[in-house]
Amino acid sequence: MAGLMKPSVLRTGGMILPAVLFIGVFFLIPLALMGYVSVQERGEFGSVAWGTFTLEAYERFFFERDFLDDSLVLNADYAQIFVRTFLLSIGTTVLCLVIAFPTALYMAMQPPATRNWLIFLVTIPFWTNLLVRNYAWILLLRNGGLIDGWFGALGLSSGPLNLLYTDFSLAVGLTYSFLPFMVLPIYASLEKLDFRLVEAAYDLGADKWRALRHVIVPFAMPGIAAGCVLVFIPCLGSYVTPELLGGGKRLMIGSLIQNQFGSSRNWPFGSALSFALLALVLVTMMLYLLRYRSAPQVAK
Amino acid sequence: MAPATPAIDVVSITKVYESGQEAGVTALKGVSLQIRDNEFFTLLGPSGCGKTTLLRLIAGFEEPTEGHILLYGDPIEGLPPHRRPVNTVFQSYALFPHMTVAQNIAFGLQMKGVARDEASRRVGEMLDLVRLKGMENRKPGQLSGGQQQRVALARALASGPRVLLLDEPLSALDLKLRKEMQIELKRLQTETGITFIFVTHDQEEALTMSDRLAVMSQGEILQVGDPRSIYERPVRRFVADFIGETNFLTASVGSRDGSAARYDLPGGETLIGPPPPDGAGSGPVTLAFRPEHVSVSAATGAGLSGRIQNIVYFGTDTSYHVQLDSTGTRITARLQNRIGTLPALEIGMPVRVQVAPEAVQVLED
Repeated sequence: MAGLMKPSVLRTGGMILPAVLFIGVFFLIPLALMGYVSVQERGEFGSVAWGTFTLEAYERFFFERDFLDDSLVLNADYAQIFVRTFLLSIGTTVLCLVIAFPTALYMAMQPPATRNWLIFLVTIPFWTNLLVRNYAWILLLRNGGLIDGWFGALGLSSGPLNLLYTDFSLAVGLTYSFLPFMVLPIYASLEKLDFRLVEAAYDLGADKWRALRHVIVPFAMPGIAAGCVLVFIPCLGSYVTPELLGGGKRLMIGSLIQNQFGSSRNWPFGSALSFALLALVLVTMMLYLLRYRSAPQVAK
Repeated sequence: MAPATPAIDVVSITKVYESGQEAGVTALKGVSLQIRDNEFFTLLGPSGCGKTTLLRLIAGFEEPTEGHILLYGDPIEGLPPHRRPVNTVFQSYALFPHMTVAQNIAFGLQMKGVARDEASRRVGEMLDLVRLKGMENRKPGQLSGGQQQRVALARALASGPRVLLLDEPLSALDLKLRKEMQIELKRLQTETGITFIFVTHDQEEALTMSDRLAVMSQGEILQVGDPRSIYERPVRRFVADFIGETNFLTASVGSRDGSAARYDLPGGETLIGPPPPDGAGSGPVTLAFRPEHVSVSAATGAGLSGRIQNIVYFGTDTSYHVQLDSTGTRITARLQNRIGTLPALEIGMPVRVQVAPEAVQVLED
């Protein structure tokens, strides 16, 4: 009887076993392999010199070996790519938040039938392949493209705008790609908001802005935090968008890692870069958990 | 002495909710009402009668389609809710779930820009007033329904409104707690001296708590008065029916002499009552009387003849359901169970029903 009333550890454990096995086999083992490769020397012709040990790959983040005397020289190139990736990801997250919050609030204030339509509309971009959507942006942003053409025709610009292959085009592309991941979690928390709370705030002397700041935003906070994590983390590791809209000129970590496993054939360095990215993601996740594990539940 | 300015003066308010292309729903039809300063006023009516709409118009959540509302003589239309010196206790309490009890109560003061230490002093006072000392750091989710209700009251009272609006605040509580809160609300109103406008569909609540009440139905106010006059002297059939139990008989006016009139019932029997209201024609009228004003006796004497259909024992009193022989109408009589006074009546027995003439009300429909 006791076993039926209260499932044993074995029983409950059994329920997550498939997930544990899947993650173990396809995530933890490759991760360990990658960690191992990152401390190997690079072999001839771009192979891995198995069984050696060196921290050279990690040194390469900041230093470069001088070609002549083999001394370490400071090289900020890679660190810069990290910093740029980080800043671009923050920028994208903020941009997504600024666009998504009013959208989600608007959606939550509609009658239920309209809401379902709006959710449907938000998910429409997922129907099209990311590559296609990014190519569409190329057509819009390129010199002689739609936007450039209109600005020229309206006499708002003289000469090409050079929108494509800039941090601007990157931010636009990334925001566009990740926006639904911000809208949906914020909407999910705002949907639970009883608008009588907002009326209560008005009633107690709050104007619109203060009702927003003191009631609506705190209520949406779990959704905002989840949305930020869902946008920021994939943004850090994004590859397709920077590759297409950055034109490979504005490198982000993802492209850099791809280069190491691809054309540069430097697996140890590629692995080390992946670990650095993982560390960034973990730090972000920990900040999120620190903020939200201790905080009491807001939603009912 | 000139009459004091009413706390709320509702001047022929009409509210129409537009719904697409269809004709709008009229929630209030030219309602006028004056609520006095420092009174406990109740808007009573079934759901959909417009009582909550009227409350929301006073609070400022809705704007009237036509008419005006004056607050202590000042017109308030166009003022948004946050600029009206009126606070609301919501049906669902609408406490801010992410704030503590103290933060909830302080919210209105914070919005008004009251200094921090003054605000915390006020919060302390409010906690005393609603007897929630020691709960200031709890979240609403950790409180019982009755406690949440008190926080909602404290929050609405903290910023010192001139009028407090209460939208069915007791409907979510169980019976015992509801009785407690009825007394509590009345005490709060007396102690604070603030005008309370209380919305309910519970007639008992309305009768026990109010100084005056208005009975509403289908967007109109049918009668305004103190609980006693509403209960004892209803002017409309709806009011008599909605408040308490009432017997109705249709009759035509017979002879009248000054202070009394004789009413002829369809079967040839008669009932004596007060004269019909001025302006009533010679057509049929409705006579209403409360079960407690009806007496039933086995004797074959004066009164309407009928037969006992059912007897229901209530402890403090007993109800006798009598079917009249002449019209088949069912009359309820409610007799108090005093020792030695209960008539020896049984189901099926032929009886005589008598109604005190002064207890009969002649109603317009």
